[in-house]
Amino acid sequence: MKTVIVSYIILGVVILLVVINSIVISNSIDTILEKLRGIPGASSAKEEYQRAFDDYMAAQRFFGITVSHDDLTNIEGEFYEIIGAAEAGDDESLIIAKNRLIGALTHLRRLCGINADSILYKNINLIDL
Amino acid sequence: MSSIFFRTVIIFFLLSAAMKFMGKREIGELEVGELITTLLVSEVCSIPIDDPDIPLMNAVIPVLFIVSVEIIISHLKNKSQKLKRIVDGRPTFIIKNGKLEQSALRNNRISVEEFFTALRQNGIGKINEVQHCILEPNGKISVLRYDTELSYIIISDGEINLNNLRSLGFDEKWLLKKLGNLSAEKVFMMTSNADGTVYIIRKEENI
Repeated sequence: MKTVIVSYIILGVVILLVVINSIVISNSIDTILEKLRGIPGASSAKEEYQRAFDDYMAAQRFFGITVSHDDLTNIEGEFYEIIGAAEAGDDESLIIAKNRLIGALTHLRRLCGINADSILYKNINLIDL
Repeated sequence: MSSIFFRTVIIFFLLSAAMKFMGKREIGELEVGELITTLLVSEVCSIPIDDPDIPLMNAVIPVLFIVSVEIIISHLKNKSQKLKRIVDGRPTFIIKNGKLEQSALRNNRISVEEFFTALRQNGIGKINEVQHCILEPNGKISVLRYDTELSYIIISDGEINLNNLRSLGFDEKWLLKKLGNLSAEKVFMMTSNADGTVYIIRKEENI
């Protein structure tokens, strides 16, 4: 009987963890996406992109334990590209990288959320975006 | 390389603990649910070892979920014979009282050759030596000769198996008479032979 009680507890904890993890990731990504969309696509906004990157890295500590390292590396890569383009004063590259980053974050949001998209459909690798 | 090594160590101990937690029956004869659990757990565990980009939690969470659900379903199956029949199926007579049930062979897609192999594996040379031959829910074939009496489970953990009761040609009145003052809920196991000889084990207190 003890085993059954422990099983019920484990099942409850697992479901709770999955739900919390999903909510935390979705909320964190929503916040980052909102910030990113609000930053102008110009190299003058370098500081703001740097701050958005710092916020993302802080949030990543919480959801990094369940998201594929490939996905996280791709998102970090896009941030580096934006900041690099801003430093170089290349607005065109910055806008392209920003859109790719928004696409990657949207994909991750869809992947981690509790919805039919993430459960039923093929999970497109971010490398294809 | 070090991450794969440590992941393997963690997965090994997690799996060892999970198998120990599920109990000894998982390493013996597997029923359908147990086979699915074993296959899924081994498959899920191999993913983060093969691919270092997949977080370890992607194996830990499914393993914990699968193992706990398997234990809960096993527990519920013991509580409800109906659920047990739905999940595991029920034993099927291939030979009943010496008569071969051809439809049972056909429905379970067992060829005559496979059936005879199973008989030989049970030490039977001639089909007319067999009184009962039963296809068990775990896929094994049990063979009983004419000199072996077959007991039917009438009560299992307080729950009456009406199918078995009727198969023997008895009814609830007969059961109540056999139980006497004892209520079915207080019986852990009651079996009966075709001649009505019963064997009753009461439920132990505090288990």
